[in-house]
Amino acid sequence: MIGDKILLEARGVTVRYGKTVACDDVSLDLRAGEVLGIVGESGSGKTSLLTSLSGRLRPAAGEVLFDVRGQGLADVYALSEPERRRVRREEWGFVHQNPRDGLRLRISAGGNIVEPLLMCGERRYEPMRGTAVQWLERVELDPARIDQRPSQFSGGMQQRVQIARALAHQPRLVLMDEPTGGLDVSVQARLLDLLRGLVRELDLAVMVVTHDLAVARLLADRLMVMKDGRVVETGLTDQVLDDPQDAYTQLLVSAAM
Amino acid sequence: MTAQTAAKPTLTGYNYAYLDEQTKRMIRRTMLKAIAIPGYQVPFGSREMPIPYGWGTGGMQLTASLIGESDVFKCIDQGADDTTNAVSIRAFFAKVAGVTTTEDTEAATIIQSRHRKPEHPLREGQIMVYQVPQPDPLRRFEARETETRAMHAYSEYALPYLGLYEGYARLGRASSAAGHPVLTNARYVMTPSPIPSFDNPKLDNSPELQLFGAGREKRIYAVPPYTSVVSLHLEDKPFETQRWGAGCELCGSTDSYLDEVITDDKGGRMFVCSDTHYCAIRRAEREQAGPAPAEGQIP
Amino acid sequence: MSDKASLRVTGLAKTFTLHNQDSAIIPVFEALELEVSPGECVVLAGRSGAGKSTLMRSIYSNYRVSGGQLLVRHRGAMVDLVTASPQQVIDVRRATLGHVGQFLRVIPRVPAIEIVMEPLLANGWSRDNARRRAQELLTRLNLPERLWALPPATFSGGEQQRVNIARGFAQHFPILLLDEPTASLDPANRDIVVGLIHEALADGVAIVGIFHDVDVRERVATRDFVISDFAAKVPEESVPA
Repeated sequence: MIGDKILLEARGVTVRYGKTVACDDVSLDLRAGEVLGIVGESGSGKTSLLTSLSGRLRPAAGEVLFDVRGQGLADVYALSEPERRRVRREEWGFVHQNPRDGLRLRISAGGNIVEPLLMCGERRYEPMRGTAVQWLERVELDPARIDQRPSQFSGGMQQRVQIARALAHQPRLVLMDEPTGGLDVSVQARLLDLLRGLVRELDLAVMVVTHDLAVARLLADRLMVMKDGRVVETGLTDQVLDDPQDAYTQLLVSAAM
Repeated sequence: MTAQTAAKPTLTGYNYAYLDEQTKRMIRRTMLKAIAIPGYQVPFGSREMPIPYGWGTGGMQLTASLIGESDVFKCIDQGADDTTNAVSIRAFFAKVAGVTTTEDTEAATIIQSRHRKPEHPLREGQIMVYQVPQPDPLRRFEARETETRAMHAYSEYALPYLGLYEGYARLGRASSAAGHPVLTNARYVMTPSPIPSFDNPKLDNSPELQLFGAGREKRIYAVPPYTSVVSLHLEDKPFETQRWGAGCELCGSTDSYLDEVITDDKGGRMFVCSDTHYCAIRRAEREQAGPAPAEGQIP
Repeated sequence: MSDKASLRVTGLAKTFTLHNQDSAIIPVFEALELEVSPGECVVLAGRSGAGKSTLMRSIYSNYRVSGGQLLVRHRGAMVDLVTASPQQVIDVRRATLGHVGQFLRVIPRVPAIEIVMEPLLANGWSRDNARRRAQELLTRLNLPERLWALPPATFSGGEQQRVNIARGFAQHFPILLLDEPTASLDPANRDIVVGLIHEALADGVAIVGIFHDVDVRERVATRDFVISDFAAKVPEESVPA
């Protein structure tokens, strides 16, 4: 069910790298239980937008607001540094395109999954380990591999560990950057399956950045299409993909199908 | 029993204790900051020493900045006064500072050590100098200095506990047999240097000043006298230290850290005190006491 | 205008603009009026290309309209889908407005029975209840049990469509949109679908349907709706000289 309360909101976010404008005046909102897809080709600004929304890149203009526990909607960049880090650690989860960016490869799979729990204050070995085993099962990895290092896993398996790590501490918001990029088609299909199931089961608020319209159709309730840093179209996923209004969206959709 | 040698500085062309006075003052200022913030790693301008990085340059710089003609200097390497490195460093300070050197823990005013703390408890007024290879307990997991600084600043200490988890998961026990992380003054997580976890309790609430020097990494940190130093542990896995079935085969001690010494090439071995001075004292006491039933020997 | 109408469409207009074909403008319908009450089955009539499917998709909000109102009775109140927020539309689709198309949208790797269960689970049904309901429908539609655990990608057209129908009829929707639901089915299965439609109508469901098959149409239709009555006039500019 989609909640009423807005969890994450961007108001007129503009991101610049020096003189280059990566995102121009982007606004959006996200509620619990919703999946918002941000689609566009490389250079569209979607990744810069995600980086800014995730508190790691202060926008040149505009605000990023998050419903911080105990505070209500707060400007992420007005929080103190330790508070912002806490929010990112405890209330958010990230799935990076490259699992190596989101995992500690020299720590065991189980260790990677318990780290977010430790970051949220868990200090008991047995319950943590139990949670890690449960999560491995949930992402369809053999729990017997819990003590193996992700460097011994295939790319698809590493991504599963990353997904478990991103969700283990039950974050309210999950941000994903091309979660299935760089993987075989069949591996992608299985991962998307997994994500769809988890999103529904856990009632997560998710933002997915992707260039792949098939991924967007499978995962997202709503879509935002970006081109050259601007939002050119937004609406329900099936609306945007089946009845695109904007010229660029029409091009994108016809090229994909 | 105790080897004490008094000497006059015999090295010409060098300042007293090798380092120039400005450097010593810089290092002492760093020490003061470190003492003011127990467990916090203070950066300092580490100097080139006449031994390579990784051989105790940090410890030596601390000693050199503190030592004076009236000091009595002891140097040990893994508990032994008579190994090569301990002998070299002791001879070095005899040469450049003209100090009395000793093997006697009680008599020393400054004790520089690699990877052990003496068995005999220290007292107020003594200074313990530890040689530290990697001063940051988080470095093993997080290579980025920017991140570890933030973690220390904001007390974000999940990583050392992750290390404990990994140990129990992969080995069934805390993997840090040496350098088990500690919480100092209830604020900073610190590595006690690669001393065996057996020695960790000795750091807690101890009367002497404890200084830690990492020459290659250019950090100094400190535990002032009577400061709390608590070994980290997971709630359902209490902190445990090493134990041996029997005592030292030379002196019979069951309270000291034992080294395994290989005696022949057929797998013969014996367990003896790592702290050579401690062992020697006990052996001397036993001889004086005359033959007695085997004491402290547990079958 | 009836007070108890489930669906009330007023002044609806739809035009396509194909930007990448020299901005060709394709008008479909305008000033369209349609009202459907509980227990009614309104059949959209008109030749191929007249816009029947387009109207259906517009009602479902799959297509965006250029003007008008799309009122649906949702949780006791009338909601205008044209101006509703995306979240509201999703809620309407979850609880009030169902759609069964001509083809099953195949999701790789998901077993047929899970596809049927999915909307129920999204509505908070327990897995056990959802599974039972899905089994009930698949049995009724004669889908062999050995296929239930398989992803429908390799099924025949008729088998896929039966999964599609089961999914559409699994929960009670006050309004159902059926777009050629029996297109790939044999007569026996078409009968079953007619039975499902009759039961739904008896249950007070308001149905809008497109039926290619004359026989089916005659058996379910309450009345016809001729879409060409509302055909949009081609704008002056695009009429060739």
